[in-house]
Amino acid sequence: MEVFQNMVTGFGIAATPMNLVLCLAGCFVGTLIGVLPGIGPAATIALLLPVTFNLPPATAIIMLSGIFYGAMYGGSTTAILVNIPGEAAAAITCIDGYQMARRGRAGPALGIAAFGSFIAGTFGVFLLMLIAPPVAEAALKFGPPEIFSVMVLGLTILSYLSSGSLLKAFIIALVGLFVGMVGIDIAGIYRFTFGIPDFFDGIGLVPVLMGLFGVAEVLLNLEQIVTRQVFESKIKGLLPNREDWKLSALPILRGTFIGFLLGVIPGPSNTISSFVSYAMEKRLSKSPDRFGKGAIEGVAGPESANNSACAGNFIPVLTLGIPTSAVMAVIVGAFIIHGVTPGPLLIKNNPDIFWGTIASMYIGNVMLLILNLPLIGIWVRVLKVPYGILFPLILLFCFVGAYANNNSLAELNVMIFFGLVGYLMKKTGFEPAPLVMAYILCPFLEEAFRQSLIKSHGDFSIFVTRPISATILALALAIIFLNVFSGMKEKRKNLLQKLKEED
Amino acid sequence: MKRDQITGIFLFGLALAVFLKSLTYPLGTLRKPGGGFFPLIASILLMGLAALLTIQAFRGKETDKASQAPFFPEKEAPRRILLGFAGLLGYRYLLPVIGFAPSTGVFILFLSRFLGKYGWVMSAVFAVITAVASYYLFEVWLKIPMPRPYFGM
Repeated sequence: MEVFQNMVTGFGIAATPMNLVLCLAGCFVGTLIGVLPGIGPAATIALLLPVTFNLPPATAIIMLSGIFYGAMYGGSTTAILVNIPGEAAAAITCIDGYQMARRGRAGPALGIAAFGSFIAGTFGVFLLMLIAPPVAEAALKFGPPEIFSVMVLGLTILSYLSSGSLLKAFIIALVGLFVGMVGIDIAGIYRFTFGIPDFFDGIGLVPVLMGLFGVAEVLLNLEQIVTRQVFESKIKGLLPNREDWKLSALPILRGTFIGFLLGVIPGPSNTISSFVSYAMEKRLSKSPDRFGKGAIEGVAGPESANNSACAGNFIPVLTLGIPTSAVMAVIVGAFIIHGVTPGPLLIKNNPDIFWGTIASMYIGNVMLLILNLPLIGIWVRVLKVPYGILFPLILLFCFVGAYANNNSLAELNVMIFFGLVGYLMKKTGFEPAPLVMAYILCPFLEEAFRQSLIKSHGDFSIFVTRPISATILALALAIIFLNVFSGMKEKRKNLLQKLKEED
Repeated sequence: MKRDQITGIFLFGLALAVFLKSLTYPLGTLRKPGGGFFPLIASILLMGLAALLTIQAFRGKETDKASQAPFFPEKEAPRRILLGFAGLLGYRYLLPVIGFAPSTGVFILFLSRFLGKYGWVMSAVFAVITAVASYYLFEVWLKIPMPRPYFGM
């Protein structure tokens, strides 16, 4: 079996003492920052990116994956203990997780989240390992029109799922395209640079993320003096009992598969998958009325789903080179900084990086489990740090992160500007996610678009005459039309309502 | 004027600006689209959608809750937001003048005293600890080349 031979090589790379230590450090720091409010996984990775600059590529990627997993995990801890999701994907965990905590069962809730994440994460990586190589092989046959269509679909799904008006989501995605167009285009033309040399290479991803997700979030929190209610009583007994396991086993299994499948699709799949899993568990349950009142399935399913979605997320990145979320965009950025181009040729050209990363994901999952169960006490204490101390530190980290990316003061201006933009967007009902995705995808999207037209000699029908591209575009159109013309609108409203209530 | 009306008009203006600007770039042909082609299409789309948003707003159609809620949730909010921005800008422009550690100290002191509601002493202690710790963490350990101050430190 070729896969297993490759895995042995992979573990050989990942299991060197230095890589193990850095993977552990990544998981730890990732969780630590993930627990803090206001910094999601994307910003966490962006913040810590400079730390990896001096490391060899494989080691850097291994550490960043650890940070990613840690940050995802940290988000669910806050969801359970404070009823505030550390990141969007954990929003649904708040419902039953927090209710469990209020009923004195915070321990098992945290425990099942950790075990579910571990099982799903490991299984997700297993699927990733089996599926990525053949997909990369097939992706070599994907032409520009197919790649264009996949990205359009991703953006459509993302807009459909962002809260607020769909019109505004599309508008802000277009604005994101403009941000992405700044800089030198593929033909070497300077566009929208205002003559500022710092913009010639485009507007940096890190300052944009820091501004929209870091600074804007802090500013919104500063408006109101809100005290967070950390769950007070002592947390005991992290191990779920037999009854818990019996209830959770199937949700974890189903969550794993759904999460992975949805993770492969470009878009905010972590979030979607946790919602889908929750809805499904509620429907399949013999006693659906327990949901919302501390049902352990409502924690186990979504937590597993969003973790295996993380693994699924890596498929488009590693095989097509298309980032599917802000987090993945930062990871793609990290690959490129370290001289590795993600795409169909990655597995062939850099097998050490691919298999090393896969192996480190297995290791990372184990580390998270052994790290998090004993350390939950520390995370609870981190949660109790008052916001008055926290927000200056968050801003400081944003500053250093934005600056260190290119050692440029202009990036700080960009960050402050996007902090203001993000603040105003929240006030006017625009979500940052579509903007960021469109901005990230813009260069890929434009290149695919232009190459498609060159290929077809200026004939737009190339997007609909090639079967794969046509199918994907039809799907995107279906989402838009169903939303405009039918009861989908109502359904979407209800879904978002649920989302909002839990927020 | 309602918020959606203002945003709609602003976005239309933005799209128009991009539209006009992209006309100055080589458009190329359909067979070989140039640098201005993609921005042109995107700006036309945005003009359409922004117009739609504006029209909806003028016809009094409610779009979403976020743009209906009061702009500032509290009387204190505008002051706090302004202070927050002042802090950010101050830090940004002090950084190249007095160097990383001192400007970090001033930044933390400012935020913690005026926005964190801590007293001068507490804020000063917090500021000094943070400045020293971040100096060692970022400049010494992670070797991030911070801007050199104009004045020797």
